[in-house]
Amino acid sequence: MVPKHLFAICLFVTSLLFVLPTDAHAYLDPGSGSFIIQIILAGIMGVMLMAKIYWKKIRAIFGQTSSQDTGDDD
Amino acid sequence: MIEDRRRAAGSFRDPSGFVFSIEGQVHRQVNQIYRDEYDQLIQSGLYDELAGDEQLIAHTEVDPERAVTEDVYRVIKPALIPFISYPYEWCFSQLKQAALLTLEIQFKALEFGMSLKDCSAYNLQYKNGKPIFIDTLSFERYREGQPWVAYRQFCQHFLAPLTLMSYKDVRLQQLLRVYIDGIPLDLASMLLPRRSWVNFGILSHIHLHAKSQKRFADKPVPLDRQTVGRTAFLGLIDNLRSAVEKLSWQAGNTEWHNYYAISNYSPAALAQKKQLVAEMLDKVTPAPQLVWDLGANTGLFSRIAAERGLRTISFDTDPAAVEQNYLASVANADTNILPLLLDLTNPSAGLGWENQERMSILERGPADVVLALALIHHLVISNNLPLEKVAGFFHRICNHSLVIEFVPKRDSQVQKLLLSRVDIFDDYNQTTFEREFSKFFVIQSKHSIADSDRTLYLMVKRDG
Repeated sequence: MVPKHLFAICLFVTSLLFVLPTDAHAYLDPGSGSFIIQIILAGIMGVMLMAKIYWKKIRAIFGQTSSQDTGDDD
Repeated sequence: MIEDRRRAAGSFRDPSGFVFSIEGQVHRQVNQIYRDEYDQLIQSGLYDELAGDEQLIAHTEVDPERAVTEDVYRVIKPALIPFISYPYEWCFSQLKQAALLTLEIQFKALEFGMSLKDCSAYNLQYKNGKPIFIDTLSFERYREGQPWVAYRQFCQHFLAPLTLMSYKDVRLQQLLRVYIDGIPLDLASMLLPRRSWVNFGILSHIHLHAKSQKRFADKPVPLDRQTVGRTAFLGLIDNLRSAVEKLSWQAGNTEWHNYYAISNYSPAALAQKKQLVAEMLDKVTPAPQLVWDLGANTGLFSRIAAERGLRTISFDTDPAAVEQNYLASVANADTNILPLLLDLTNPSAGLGWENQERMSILERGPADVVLALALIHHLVISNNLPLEKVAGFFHRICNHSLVIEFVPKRDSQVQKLLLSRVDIFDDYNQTTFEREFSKFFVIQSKHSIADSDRTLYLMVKRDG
């Protein structure tokens, strides 16, 4: 490869890094509809995840208490 | 000497780098554009974590001078995948395990400040009986607020086929052969039964997702909007995981999966056949590396090869048989067997751009030893294949030895095949079988199987 081309490629790649700082690697088309539904679903599912985590914590507290009460070491 | 370096035909979509071979050995070029992401993968400890758990293919860095193009940052040499297989060749549980591994990797990546930027099922392979992620360049730095760019791809490559297999018909997986970027969600949504609408995960990720795609098609979306917080992001992945975990498929009463239970072998004949196959495999010199068991059913004879430390690809056309074979291999921690779905009369072709992105089965051969047990009658009688063509095909896929069973017309299994059709198979007899196969192979030994009319042959390939 001649140096002239190499320089051109380097310039192009470097310029890409500046022009597209966040999406340089987002080569996939995420799809408009997929993006929008994801935003809605993620909101709901994030709440569900938090509920799940807290529910587990609550169950762990009561589970521990009940196993201590009954002497069950399962 | 100039090295023979070739770019892999199927590696062109992602500008981060590409796969190429040096003297036939697989390497991956990491381009300059991917430098920061690659550094983060290595320096954050994510690579060590995933490679240590055998979830991501391990690699070594080699001299960047060996790169193919000049925008190289690193050249890496990944560990060898002994046999390449594709999602349309996996059984239900293999695809499900690959999906769950993908999501587990995504969870781990997030812990290390990274995220998967693509979610293709082709990013996974089976190695030592387990799925492993092979695309080292699929990780990008996670930017809080950004939606998951690979969400659509995960749904198309994993969730849609698994849901269709589970809710509708296991054979719908074959749509993956047609749609190389996964099953379109509108098609999946249309094919799924009504009861799938009451499953919250499927309702969300397939039905509503498909409707949203239709509603917002061709509408621009600001990609850099900070819209999905970290908890929401985790909630989405967690929900996908629980949707996949809940999917199941019971290998029902399909054509073959209870074959051994109903076949006409007496226990003594079956034991003798196993013994003979074992002896024949032991006779093959030089010691084989790769065995293809064609029409393997649930892998009874594949296990004989695998027990000898031979890497065995166990092909069958029945999804239930492949499923049972895989589950048994997992239960027995059988790392030498890879059960795969394959219709020999229409085997996996070259797919994708220029028919070269996904290899045909012929490109992935030849095998050192081919096992063709209780198979020949299905090819000749059920598929009208002349014996010469069968012999020629086996010659093509076989590097050295062929262990083949001849099943004559008077055998009850052949009689069953002839029940509903006119017998046009005058040439289907042992004499013609031996004559046609002798054109391509040298018959080394032959043994009658007790309590049956069947004969087992060990043949060695003729050159040319």
